[in-house]
Amino acid sequence: MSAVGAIDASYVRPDTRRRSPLYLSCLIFLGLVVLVAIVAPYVTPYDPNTVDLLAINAPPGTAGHLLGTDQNGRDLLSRLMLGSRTALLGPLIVTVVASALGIVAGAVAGSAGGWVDAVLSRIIDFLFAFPGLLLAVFAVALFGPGLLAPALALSIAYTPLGARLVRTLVIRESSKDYVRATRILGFSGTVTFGRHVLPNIAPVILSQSLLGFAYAVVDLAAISYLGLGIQPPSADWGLMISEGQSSVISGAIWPVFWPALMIVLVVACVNYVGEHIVDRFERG
Amino acid sequence: MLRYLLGRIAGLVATLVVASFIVFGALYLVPGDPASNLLSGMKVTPELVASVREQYHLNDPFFVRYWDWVMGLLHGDFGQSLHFRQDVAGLILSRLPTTMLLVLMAGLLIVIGGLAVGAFAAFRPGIVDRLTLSSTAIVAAIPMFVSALVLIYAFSSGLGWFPAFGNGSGFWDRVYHLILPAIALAIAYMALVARVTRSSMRAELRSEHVFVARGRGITGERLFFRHVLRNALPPVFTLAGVVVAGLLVSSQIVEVAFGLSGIGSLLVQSVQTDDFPVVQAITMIVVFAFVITNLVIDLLLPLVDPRMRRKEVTR
Repeated sequence: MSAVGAIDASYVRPDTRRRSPLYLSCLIFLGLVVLVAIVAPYVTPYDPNTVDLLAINAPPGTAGHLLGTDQNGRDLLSRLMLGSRTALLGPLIVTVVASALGIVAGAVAGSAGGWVDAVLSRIIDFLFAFPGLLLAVFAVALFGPGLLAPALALSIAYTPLGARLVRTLVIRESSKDYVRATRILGFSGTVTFGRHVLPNIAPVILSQSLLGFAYAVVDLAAISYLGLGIQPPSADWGLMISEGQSSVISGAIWPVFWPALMIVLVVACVNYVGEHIVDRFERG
Repeated sequence: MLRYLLGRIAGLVATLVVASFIVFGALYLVPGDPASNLLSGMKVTPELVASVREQYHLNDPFFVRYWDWVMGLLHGDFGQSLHFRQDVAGLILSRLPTTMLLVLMAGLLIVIGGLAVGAFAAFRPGIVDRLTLSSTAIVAAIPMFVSALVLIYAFSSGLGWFPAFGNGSGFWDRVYHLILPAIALAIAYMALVARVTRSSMRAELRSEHVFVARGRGITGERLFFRHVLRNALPPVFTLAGVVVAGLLVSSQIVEVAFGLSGIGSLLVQSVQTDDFPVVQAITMIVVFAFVITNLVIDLLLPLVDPRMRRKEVTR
């Protein structure tokens, strides 16, 4: 895993003394996206599924369509707003489930040691043999297309990364004097872990979870691009891109441009925020 | 060394056994009758169910079926496709060359481009290095289907230099058809390899042995190849397993985007048509490719870096 550590260390160090403007803009942008995702059903300017065959592939700004329309004349802004819901909900499920599983597995392996550690580490190594996208596609083959099956499959695929990190951190932290002192004072393993070890390693875990969130955005968008996730006529960023592909070949890029831009911006921002958190933690 | 090798092979076999068990058993974990699961989406008559039960030996006990399936895999018999009504093995073999060529071309791009960009950035601190770091971070954040569509828009429908669709016929025409798909497949991994190469080389350049080598008057190519590159390679090497499996899996996206008929698009099509035997076969192939690549890498590492040999003995 030295390779992965090396990547993290090589990023441009944001200036942590001042709050970097890029960090703040990322936070504001992500906050706005979340806000839009929550209120989208009440504030979209048009019905996202209203077909207007007289206004197909309209460029941005035409006749009240701020971002233009798609190949069926549906309002792109409305679809983009509604699409943010599934685009964020799926990765949220993946991140929560994978982090929970990873923390539990890593903490148990790291603090128990012995054969428990050996067995868990084997399982973790084994799971690395299944790339996330493959496991997600396999889950769709079993349970049918949708959001939940690929999201849960990705959670399992992402678990080993977090579990390995937590295991290493727990082992390193547990060997420190203050943890030994708490144990000697008679506190149970669970209390020591929950009150002392976990808060100290939390920023690194949070940063890893954010990285997982970014990967999940891309993988789930790919699943729905392949037609294996959210089904039409629902609005979803990945699906919008796959539906708009035929228009790209004939030169109309807007139906694809907006969802693609949103995915790239969300992924880049989440990554940047994650790096920033770990950086601030390391510098103290 | 022999003991290490045998241990590794035993681990590999164990991984494959567990993986095959999951891939095979998954169909029986899902609620419902496996026969109707296999037939989902078709008109089901009792005779059809009975014939499927017969064809897939569903009346046999689970472990007998699993054993038969694994033995079949080992003999190159992957069963029958439900959708195409033909041998899964034959079906996959007819699709494999396109995917292999695509992955090979992408792999070459990744190795050459990734190492070159990484080395370039490592040897030029300052503005070049910073630009490389930020641009590779952005490139790595672009989903593969987006880069595929950008390439189609720019070089295919825009400039008209490359075809946007299909496999092409004949070897060179196929290479020509696969250039854009290979770039789309490679670009994110190229950024990843470049970043790892850069940080690994940066660490070497700061090390004492390079300092001493410079003090002895060694510069330029000799310093790069003999002192920096060789020591900086192992971290890049260990990425290979992830990259190879990633390329095979991600080729789905690129094959669908460019309308290529390889095993990636076959997998997507099979999932959509509930053609489970094909899904099982392709899943096993990808897992197999991943564990084999990792084994090969682990065996090659001691050749690249003799220090690794000592570590194995103490394992």
